[in-house]
Amino acid sequence: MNPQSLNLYSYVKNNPLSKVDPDGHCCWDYITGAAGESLNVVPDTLNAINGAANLALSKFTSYQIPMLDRITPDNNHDSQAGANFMAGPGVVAAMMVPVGGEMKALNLAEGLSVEVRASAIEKEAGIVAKCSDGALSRSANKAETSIAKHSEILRNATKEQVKSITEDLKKAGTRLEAIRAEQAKRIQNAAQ
Amino acid sequence: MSNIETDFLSEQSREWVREVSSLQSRLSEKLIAIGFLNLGEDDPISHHLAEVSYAGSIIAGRLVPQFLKAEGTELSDVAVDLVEDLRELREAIEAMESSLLRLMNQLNPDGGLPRSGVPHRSRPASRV
Repeated sequence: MNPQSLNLYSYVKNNPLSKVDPDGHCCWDYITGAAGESLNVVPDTLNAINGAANLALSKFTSYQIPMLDRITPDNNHDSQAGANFMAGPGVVAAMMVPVGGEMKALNLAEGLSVEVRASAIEKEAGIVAKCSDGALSRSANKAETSIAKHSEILRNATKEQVKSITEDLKKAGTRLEAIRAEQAKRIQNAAQ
Repeated sequence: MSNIETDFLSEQSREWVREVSSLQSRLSEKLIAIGFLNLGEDDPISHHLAEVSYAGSIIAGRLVPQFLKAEGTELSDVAVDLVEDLRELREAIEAMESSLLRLMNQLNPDGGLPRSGVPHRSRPASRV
């Protein structure tokens, strides 16, 4: 685990006072291909989880968890700053935790503090880093299946069961996120 | 990109959903009936215990026999399934552990021990 991945200000090059990234898209602009697209596993996975949770919640309350925006390229950022940022260990940082505003939204959506979420992802990252490429790929399928199964089971859940099932969904989401980040990191390493 | 679609679950996944749904409902009803839970109260036991019960039966009845028979690619698939199922099992046990302890203590208010602190079954027979 790269400790830089826990640096919440990587996206503004450690200078949150003079630089801002209000929409959280800065680092995205310079990630391309499969590695870049894999960042969207975060909002995609959590939207699937939130969608399933909303379905279950709608039986008991009018409250609905807001959906997250997918991360998309934005050409209005300073490309040199982004190129410098992405050239270093910030690649891993971007994959693992701080994607500016998106990450903040994710933590809010999951009801987790930044520290708790970073700790959960770090724990998963430590496990997936030890897996072979083949095992990682199959584990990703298992995590996706787990999300699908738990989403389905939420449809018939009673109010007493919603919290436990949603927690399982979040765990599977965190696992999938860690696997995708590790896969993206390996793609980046292979390309260098 | 992840392809999370609940409409295209495999038959094995559908079986998991059916079995766990059914079992967790029966467990919730039981926990409410014995007064451990109030209606609508969060219940960490029923879903996780249903998962553990079903995963245990799958490991014993399907995965371990498959592992013993399999070779090549199938063997590597079974190994991943085994590891992932064991991991989910461990997480489920950890998630419900404190609630299970509370349930056990509620149903055994004296802790199941006689005043001497020695469990009934292991108490030596009197020689008198």
